[in-house]
Amino acid sequence: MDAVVKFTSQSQGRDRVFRSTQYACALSIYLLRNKPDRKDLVARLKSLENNMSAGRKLLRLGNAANSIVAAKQTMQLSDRLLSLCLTVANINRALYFICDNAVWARNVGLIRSIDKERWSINASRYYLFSLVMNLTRDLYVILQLMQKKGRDNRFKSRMNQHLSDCPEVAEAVIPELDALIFLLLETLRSEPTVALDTVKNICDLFIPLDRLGIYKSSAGVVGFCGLISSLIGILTLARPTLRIKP
Amino acid sequence: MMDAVVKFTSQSQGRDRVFRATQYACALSIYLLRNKPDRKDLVARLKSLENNMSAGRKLLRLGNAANSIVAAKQTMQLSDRLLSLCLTVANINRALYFICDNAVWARNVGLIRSIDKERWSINASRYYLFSLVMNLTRDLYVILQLMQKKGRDNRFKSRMNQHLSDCPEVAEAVIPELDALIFLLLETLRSEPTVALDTVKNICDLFIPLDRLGIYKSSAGVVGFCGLISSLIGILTLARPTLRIKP
Repeated sequence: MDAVVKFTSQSQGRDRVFRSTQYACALSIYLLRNKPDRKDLVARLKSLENNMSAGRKLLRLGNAANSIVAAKQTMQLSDRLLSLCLTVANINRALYFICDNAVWARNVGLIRSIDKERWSINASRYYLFSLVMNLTRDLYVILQLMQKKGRDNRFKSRMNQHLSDCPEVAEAVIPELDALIFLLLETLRSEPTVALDTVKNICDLFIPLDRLGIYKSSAGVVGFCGLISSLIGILTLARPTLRIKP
Repeated sequence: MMDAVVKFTSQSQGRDRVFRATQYACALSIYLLRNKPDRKDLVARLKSLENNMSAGRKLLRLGNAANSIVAAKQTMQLSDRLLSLCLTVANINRALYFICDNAVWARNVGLIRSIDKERWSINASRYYLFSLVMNLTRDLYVILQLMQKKGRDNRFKSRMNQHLSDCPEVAEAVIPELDALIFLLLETLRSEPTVALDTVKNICDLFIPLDRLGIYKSSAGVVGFCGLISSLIGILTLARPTLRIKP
C-alpha cells in the first residue's frame, strides 16, 4: 500500500492510471458493441470514459511548463542529434499542451471566441510531431547500440554460433538479413528501456493518426494501443530503471 | 522559478490545492458579484469554472483513503498518547470521508446506481467535520503544551514583566492575568508559526462542513472566503515544508 500511495502522490502517476482506465473502457466498449444485452454496461463504460477524459484534460493544465523545462535540459545534451530530436519533441509537446489547455478553456466556457475543432486538430498535430521525433530518437539510439554491439567480440562469437546452429533457416533467407534481425533482437533484449520506449511510442502513434484521419484504424485498435502504452507508462514510472535516459 | 512551479505541480496534492484555491476564489467572486446584473456573463463563466474544478477534484480524490490509512498507521506509533489518539482518529475519519466521497463520484458517473447520493454526501461532510475537530483538538493541545513550556522560560518571564510594566494603564484596565495570558498566547503563536497556520487553516475549513450540514449556516461568501484562505495556507505549507506542522 505504501508503494501505491507513493505512486499516486505524483500527478503523472495518477494521470497514467486514469489513462489506462480510459483506454480500457474504450477497448471494452468496442468489444461489447454488438451485444444488445450489455447495453447498460456499455452506457456505464462510456460515462466512465468521458469522466476520465474530462478529468485528465483538467489535470493537463500547466503541463506546458514541464515540457519547456525538459526542452531547456535537452538543449544541453552533448550528442547533437539526440539533443535536436528531444528538444524539438519537447517543444512540440509544449505546443500540444497549450492547444489542449485552450480546448479545455473553451469547454468550460472561459474563452468563447476560439474555434474548438481547429485547436483540437492542432493539438493532435503537435502531439503527432512530438511522437515522430521521439521515435526518431529511439531509432537513432537503436542504431548506435547495434553498431556498438556488432563490434563486440563476445557477440560475434554468439552470432556465428546462431548462424551455424540453424543452417536450414540461414540458407532459406538471406544470411545477412538473418544476422541483422539477430543483432536487432539481441540489442533490444539487452537494453529493455529502448524497447519499451519504442513500443510505447508506436502504440501512441495510432491515436493521433486516427484522430487526424491520416490512418483510420478502428476504435478497438486505438483503445488497445492506448491501453498498452498507458501500462508501459505506469511500469516506467513505478520502476525508474526501465525509463529511457535522458 | 518555473522549476519550482513544475516541482510543486508534479505532486498530486500540489495540483489539488491550486484547483481548490481556484474553486473557492470563484465561489467568493460569484458571491461578491451576485447583485450586479451587468456582470451576469462573468458570473456564468465563474460558475462553470467552479463546477469544473469541483468535479475534477472529485476524480482526483479517488484512492486518497489509502493515504489517510497509511498516515493513521504512522500516527498510531507516536510516543505522546493524546497526540497519537487525536491524529489517528482524525486520519481514520478522513479515510472514511474519502470513501464516502469516492462513492458519490461513482454515483455521479453512473457506475453505482443503487446508493442514495444525498445520504453518502452528508456522511462525507460529517466525517470531514469530525476529522477537522480532532485536528483542532491536537492544535489546542500543542498550543497549551507550548504555552506551559514558554511560561517557565526565564527570558520570557522577564519580557512579560516588561510588557506589563510598559503599559500600566492597559494592565489596570483589564484583568492583569488575562492580559498576561493573551501575551503568552500571542508570543507562543509567533514563535511557532506552524501551529498558528494549522489552527487558522482548520478553523477556516470548519465553516465548509458546518454550512453543508446546516449546523451553522453562514453565507456562500463566508464559505468561499474561508475556503480560499485555507487553500492558500495549504499551498504555502506544501511549498515550504518547514511551515508544515509535525507530525
